[in-house]
Amino acid sequence: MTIEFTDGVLVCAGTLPVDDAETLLQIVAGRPGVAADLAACEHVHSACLQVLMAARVTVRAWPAGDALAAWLRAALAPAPASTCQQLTTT
Amino acid sequence: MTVATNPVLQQFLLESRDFLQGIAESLLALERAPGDTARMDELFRVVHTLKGNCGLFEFPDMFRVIHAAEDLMSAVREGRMTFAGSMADALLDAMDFVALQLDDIEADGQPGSGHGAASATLAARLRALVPSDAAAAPALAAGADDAAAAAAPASAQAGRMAAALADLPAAVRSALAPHPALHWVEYAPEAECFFKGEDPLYQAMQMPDAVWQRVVPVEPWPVLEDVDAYRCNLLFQALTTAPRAAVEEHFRYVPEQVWIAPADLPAAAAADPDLVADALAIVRSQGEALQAGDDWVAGRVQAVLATIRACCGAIGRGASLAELEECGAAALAARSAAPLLAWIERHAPAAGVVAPAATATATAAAPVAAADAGAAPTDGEPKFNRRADDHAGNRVLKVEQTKVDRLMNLIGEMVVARNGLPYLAGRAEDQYGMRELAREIKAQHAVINRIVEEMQDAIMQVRMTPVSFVFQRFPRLVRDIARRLGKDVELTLEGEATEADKNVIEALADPLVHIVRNALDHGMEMPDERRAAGKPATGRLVIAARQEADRVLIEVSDDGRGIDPARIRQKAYAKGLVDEAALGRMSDQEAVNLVFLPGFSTAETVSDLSGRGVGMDAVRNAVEALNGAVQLSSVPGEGTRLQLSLPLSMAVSNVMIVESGGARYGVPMDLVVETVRVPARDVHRIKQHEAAVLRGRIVPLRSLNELLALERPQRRNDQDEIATLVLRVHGQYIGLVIDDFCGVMEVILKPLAGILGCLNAYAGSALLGDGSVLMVINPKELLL
Repeated sequence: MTIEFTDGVLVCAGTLPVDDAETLLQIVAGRPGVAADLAACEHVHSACLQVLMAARVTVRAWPAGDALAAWLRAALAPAPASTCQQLTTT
Repeated sequence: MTVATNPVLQQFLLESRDFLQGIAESLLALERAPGDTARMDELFRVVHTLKGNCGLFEFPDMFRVIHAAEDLMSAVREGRMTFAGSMADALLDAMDFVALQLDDIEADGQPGSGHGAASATLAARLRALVPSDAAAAPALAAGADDAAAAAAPASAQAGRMAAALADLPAAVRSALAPHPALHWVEYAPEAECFFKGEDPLYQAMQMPDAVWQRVVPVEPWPVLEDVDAYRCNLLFQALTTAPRAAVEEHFRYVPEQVWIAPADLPAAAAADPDLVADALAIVRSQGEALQAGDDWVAGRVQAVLATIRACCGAIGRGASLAELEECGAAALAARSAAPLLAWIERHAPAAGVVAPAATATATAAAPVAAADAGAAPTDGEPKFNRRADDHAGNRVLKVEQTKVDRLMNLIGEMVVARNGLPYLAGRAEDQYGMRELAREIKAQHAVINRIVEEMQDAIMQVRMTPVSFVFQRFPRLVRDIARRLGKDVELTLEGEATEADKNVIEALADPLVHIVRNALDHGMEMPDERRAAGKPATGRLVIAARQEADRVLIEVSDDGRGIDPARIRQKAYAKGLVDEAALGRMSDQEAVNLVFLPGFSTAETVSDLSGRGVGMDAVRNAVEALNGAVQLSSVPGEGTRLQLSLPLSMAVSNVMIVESGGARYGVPMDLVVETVRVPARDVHRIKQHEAAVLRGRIVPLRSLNELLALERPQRRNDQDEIATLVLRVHGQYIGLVIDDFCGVMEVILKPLAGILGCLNAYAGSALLGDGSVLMVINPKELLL
């Protein structure tokens, strides 16, 4: 198991495969904005990523890998409000 | 992967061009007769095959187009729609695209990048023609106006790009400013992509040279409880410094989900006027640099282009870059700096005063210009307006074999005509007493001789086929047989590039299969047996080919149990193939050769592979029919080696011409060991046969006149010597007594036809230069 939820923090480690998206969704359901520790993540499948995005998790620790960290920051860091507006209109 | 080293790819290219030709013909025929269902079926079959072949390689652009074409044809075939002219146009365009891809593959071993967009457009056009039950009307409407259909989403994407770029924090923007050619990439994976095993994030992460990126939801996230984790709702946006072609290459499997456009960063709101002035000064100085040199070089234009690109990027004048690129291309094409100078004049006037308003206009225009640039193909532009038949790249000519055979026959006649010249020279000298003329004819003969030989060689080359043609089936065959027998065999092929005449190579296939089967079935031991004998469990089978003078040698050797001469003797005796006296005289090597006798088989049980007693004598007959020879050698416990020696070509034979009983006969040179004149007193009579001792060996002598049932005795020369041709037939030396030797000649051997064809004593006939017919004897039949 690479996903743990302890003391109100979601800790993910290793690779989050596509099959874990459902598990992840069950954990974050009802806890929008939950804190997440992704430090030990090696890869996050897009399906898991969108669950994290939908849950608007607050990331406490970013993964070590540069590329992954950059993309996760790009996805999970708070986005400017105007972008969301732009997208909803198109 | 290059074309030269990949025979499968070569084959694919050849076949595909044939297919394209066939498709084009069928399409044109169908345009004339749309109801021709047989044609349609044929067309569908060819396209289907083409698609299948294409699927063997990684050519996604080509595959996508062919796949769409196949779908369209399938619809027509099933009667869901009727064939129309517009369809033929779309299909022909698609096939042109495939032809272009083939050109690229032939040149570089892979299709050029940057065709993704063209491929997607073509595929969309083809798909638009297919009436799908649900979306027929919209699809057709979209097909009616591709450009409009494509434009709508494109403008949405352009809008998103402009908004995102405008939102870029100043820090990011200044960090990105030094990059002259940024591309905006928007990747919108399909909602169902997870079910296809795709991971869009991974795909996006692997994108080359991304300098900024963002992931946003396509639609706003619903409340968490309603989120469907397996429906992709992600949109990936990035800025990359990689060229458009590289990005397209990266997303080559999903071009329809990716939107790429040159990105122009809006200038920082408070662009430093000094900076702008500096940049423009640099641009102007570039113009001076261009004018300065008399010796204009393309490199200078490239350098200037790069500098201007960087300057404009830094001051947010990216909008004018598209025009710059055009001017640059024009300059390169015209080999003159004028277009580029004109651009500099327009955008950096010598007056040097640039109103801030100009900058603002440029900024406002940026997204629009960028969208235009996105629609018009830029650096990755596919060369997509040539027709399929324009290219000159197809350098392989496929010719019917009969045409080459005709050339072969003609050159044969040429050889005969050439052989006539020495006769003519002889007649000029002897009969008309014109020595000078005779010498001139001989000189002319030498010239013609050289040309004829070269021509003959060239025509032979056309017919040459590498042995790999036969060898390529063995890896699979050996694997299958070995698996069935439960043996472990490693096959090594050597000298696959060795060439020989097509007929020889083709005729070799069956004998070789027999030999390999025998080696695996009888020669190779089971792994346990091998281990017990102290050998590696995996047996080795080597099939090697090499050229030796005018013959091809093919050797099949294994490291199996070898052939036990004692067992062969016993078996041959039991089957009544040899008598006891003969067995006693036989050497081990001769005993091993008994396996070539008809009806011989050592296998204890008849398997479905070999052991029916037809194997080895069939091999020998086949090889001898090709004028070849088989040699078998074996060391018990260590292995067996079988060597086939075959002529490179069967078209021209060397014969020794001899005289006997007042007529001339030919004897195949490959059997002649030596020509000797034996003094009559050295001939000994043993029972009814004569024999002589030559080089310490007893050679039986047979008179040719006697063998041919001619009543005359053989003539002797003045020194009372007998002209003897020593032949080696089936490993035995035999002296053929004749009247006289006449010399060696190249002839085109024609097999005897009709009733004469039953005469085994003759190998065939040949036409001589003086018009007479030479009978070529077949010593193998005549002497045994």
